[in-house]
Amino acid sequence: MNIRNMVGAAVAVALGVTGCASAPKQVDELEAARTVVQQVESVPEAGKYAANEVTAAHDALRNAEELQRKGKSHKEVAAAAYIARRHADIAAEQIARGQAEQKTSQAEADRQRVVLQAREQEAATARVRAETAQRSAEQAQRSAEQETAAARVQAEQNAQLAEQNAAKASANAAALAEQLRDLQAKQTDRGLVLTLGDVLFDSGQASLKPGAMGTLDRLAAFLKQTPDRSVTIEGHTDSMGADSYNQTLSENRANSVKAALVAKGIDAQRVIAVGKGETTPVASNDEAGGRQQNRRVEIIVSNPPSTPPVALGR
Amino acid sequence: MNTFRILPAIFLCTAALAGCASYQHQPEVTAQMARTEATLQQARQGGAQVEALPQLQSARDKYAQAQQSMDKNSKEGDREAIQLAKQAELDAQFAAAKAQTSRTEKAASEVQQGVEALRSEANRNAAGSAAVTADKQ
Repeated sequence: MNIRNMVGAAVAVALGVTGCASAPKQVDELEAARTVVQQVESVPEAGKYAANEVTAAHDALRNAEELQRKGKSHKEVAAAAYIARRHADIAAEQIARGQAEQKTSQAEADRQRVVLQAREQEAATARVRAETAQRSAEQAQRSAEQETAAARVQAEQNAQLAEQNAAKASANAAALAEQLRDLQAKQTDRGLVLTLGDVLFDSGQASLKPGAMGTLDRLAAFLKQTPDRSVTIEGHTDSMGADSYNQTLSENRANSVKAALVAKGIDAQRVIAVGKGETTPVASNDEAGGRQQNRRVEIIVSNPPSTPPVALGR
Repeated sequence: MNTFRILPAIFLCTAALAGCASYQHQPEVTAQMARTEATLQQARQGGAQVEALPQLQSARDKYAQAQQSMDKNSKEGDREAIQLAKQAELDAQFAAAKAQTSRTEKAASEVQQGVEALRSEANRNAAGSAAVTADKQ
């Protein structure tokens, strides 16, 4: 119920009351005005929105009461009361207007708050979207990084494996070199030449001595590691005895070595046995020491297929 | 308006002027009448005809009565005129205030409705955004 409705109701009540208590000299308009003025004065916001009119109403009411006290005519008192009443009415309107303006500015504030909240909401939604996008991007990056890491691990493993292989190859090469040193190997234009002294055979014999087996085992092991190289076995003798005898003896001895190597698992196709007799001495046959050097078996391991001397034909 | 109606009017005015030429109105009366007229003018311009017609009509009636009282060209007439014109002024002020209040209240409720509409719109959007957000997650 707003101020104006209350004023109307108050007037109705006041008139009803005064109608019953009809004292002499009672002026209904004055009673009504008094009620309305008091009503308006009691509104808390009266001073804020209608200070002048409320004061005017108050003063006019006092004036009307003064006239009544002085015993002025009913008409005069009623006219003065009317002034007070109208000032109070105007005050009530002004209060109502002030309240409406208050409502408007409140609503404006509400509107701004709603707009602000809506913007914040929008911003929050946008933020969530951005965060979601960011998360997917991060996830994608993480997967990519994981893949990269896996690839790196794989590469590292491969590298490690290659390194191990290289190390193994290197170790093999080292082992080979060791064995070759053992066998008195010599790198020549014909290939790798291993010279086995007269330790393999008894004098005049073509069958291998039991003590020769260790040397031949190592030779066979070496040849197994170099399966792509062909092997030539040459038998040599000193100049003692007939040439034909020495020739046959050297052939028999070369064949014995070949047979022993084949028996140890070397492919016979790779191995050629040749008897050279006394044709290619490495020392003088005039001395016992020189003759001992000339009595020998040479094993020539061809150079690897990729090395220059062999690769010339390509 | 024909000549037969103008002539008596002129006659009456002349007679009145002749009769009252000697009477000088109290300055308070003319001042109050001017104030009331100005206030009535303001009330009309403020839209009181639409928003507070009964109060405006009452003000007009009392102003007309005040003019009649003035025409009596007497002290008693002036006293009555002042009283009536004062009441008319207040009635006009009341009418103007009522019109203004009525418009202000209308504006307030329109703004409030606007805010309500905006609020429900914003809530709907917020719900939509929340749904989008929920979808994304």
